[in-house]
Amino acid sequence: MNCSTYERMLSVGGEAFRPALVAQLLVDLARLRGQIDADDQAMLARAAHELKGLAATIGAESLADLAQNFGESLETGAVSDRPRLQVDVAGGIDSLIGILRADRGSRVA
Amino acid sequence: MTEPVQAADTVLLIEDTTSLQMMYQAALTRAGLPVEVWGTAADGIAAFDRLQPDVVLLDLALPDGSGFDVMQQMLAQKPRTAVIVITANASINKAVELMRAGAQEFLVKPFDDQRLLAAVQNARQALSHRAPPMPAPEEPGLAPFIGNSPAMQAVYGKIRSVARSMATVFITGESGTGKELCAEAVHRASPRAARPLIALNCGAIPADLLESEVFGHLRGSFTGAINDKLGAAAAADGGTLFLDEICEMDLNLQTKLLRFLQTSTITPVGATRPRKVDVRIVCATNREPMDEVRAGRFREDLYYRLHVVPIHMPPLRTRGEDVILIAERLLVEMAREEGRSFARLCPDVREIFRTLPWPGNVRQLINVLRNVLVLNDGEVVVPAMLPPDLTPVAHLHTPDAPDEMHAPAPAQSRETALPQALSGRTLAQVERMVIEAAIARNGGSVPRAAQELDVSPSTLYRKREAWSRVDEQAASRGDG
Repeated sequence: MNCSTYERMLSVGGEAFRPALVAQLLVDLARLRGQIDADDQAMLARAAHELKGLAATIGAESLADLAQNFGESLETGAVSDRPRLQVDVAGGIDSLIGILRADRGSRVA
Repeated sequence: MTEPVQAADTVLLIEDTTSLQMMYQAALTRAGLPVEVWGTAADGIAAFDRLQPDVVLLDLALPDGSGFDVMQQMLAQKPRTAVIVITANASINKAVELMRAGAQEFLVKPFDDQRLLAAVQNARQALSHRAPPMPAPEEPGLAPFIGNSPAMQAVYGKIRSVARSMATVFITGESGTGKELCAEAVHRASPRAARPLIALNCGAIPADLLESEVFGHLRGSFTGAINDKLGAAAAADGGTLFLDEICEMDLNLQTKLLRFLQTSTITPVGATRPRKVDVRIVCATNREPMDEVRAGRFREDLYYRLHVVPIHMPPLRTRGEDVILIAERLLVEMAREEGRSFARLCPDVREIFRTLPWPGNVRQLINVLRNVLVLNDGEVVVPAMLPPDLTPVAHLHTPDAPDEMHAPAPAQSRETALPQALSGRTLAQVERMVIEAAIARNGGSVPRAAQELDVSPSTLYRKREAWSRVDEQAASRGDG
């Protein structure tokens, strides 16, 4: 996690805005988490692409890399790597969700 | 008292991920910029129609459509729009493609709020200084063309100059040079871009049906006219009518076309009352129009009425490195369509392409690439994959044209030098000697040697490959 990027982007709207942004990030990540478990190849590819952009924007660089690798495996048909990558991506999303929940919890009055 | 916000000042943001919408909007709002946010292509287009914003931030991957198509739709409607494309795909090819299609800037995720603000501010500044709608004159390309040779830069400049006027454009050029693309570029750069571009190939339609195709007809006006027909001129009302192969039009219809150009009215076949239409005319021919006038096949008054702004599409052989740019771009696109993995041309193929005359121009190049893709596979196109009939200059000059490239060596030196060297040799050895001498004489260039020997370069490459194998076998046997 690039903490500098994470802090910068989550603070972009100011402190009052942050809880709403964190809440929406949790919603988006929960949706993507569900899509990553799907069997539909097209849905998986869209989810990987979206996750790559979102994760990278808030500094979750490792997760962004995993999403990119997963997307590439879907594009190139490298079937053997896919299950492992799918598990890794799901695990990465879970970790990021944990970070955001902790962020939300630490700011509750 | 603050000034009211003009709709056009609102930054239109089209991004489907809600949390990203929130971050981008927050950054822009904190900087004092009004923002309107939508998450789909359809909603984004509707908002664009309503706001007519100067700046659009557009994600390429939208759930209900391609951001690229959305961008093209917006720019066609309002060319003076700065579209800043957002994508997670950092491909340079994609960036070039988008910029050539009219994007103002290209942001790759992740980017922070400072980068976002800088892009928007730059876009607004550029709009306030920019005169032509798209793209800026100093930019090298013009969609949908590929290529930035001096010959094509001249064409782009003319298109940009003429697009904003109503003047008739007369496009000439050999077959396959992109005359239809030129017409499309003129239309897209014009204020009429949001209106239809109707193209009619005057050479492809039977002469007795052409009048109906151009001007329309009423039901029952002739045998077979079972319904009213609108006609190309009426269909192009408010837009552009492109008449391709204009010199194929028969003289009777040329008379009616001239009347249409003079009066801006059309009378469909079978109708009694004329109708006013507002069209901008672009026409094209691969013939020499003045030759047609002199031969009495094309009306001189119509010629001068149409030949207001001539644009000549240069043949591919005069466009320098454009042949490589076009070949490599199309190769990748066509490979994707055919499910092949081709990504580039090897240096030898590039050299061959640079020296070929391409009498069929870009269309011929496309056919060659399609042939390679269908019959071969791999990442790199090599000479052995090229069609064997891809011949050099000598076979393709017209019979009367001087064949400067094939000036034979002085007969005297040929007759005295070769026989001695050839005596006692097999035919295969003689052939090899002649070919290798030609290559050496041409500084190692196989394509130039092929031109001299009047064979295709791929023939020489295949022979050299065969000789290599023979030499390797001889070496492994320990032959001398």
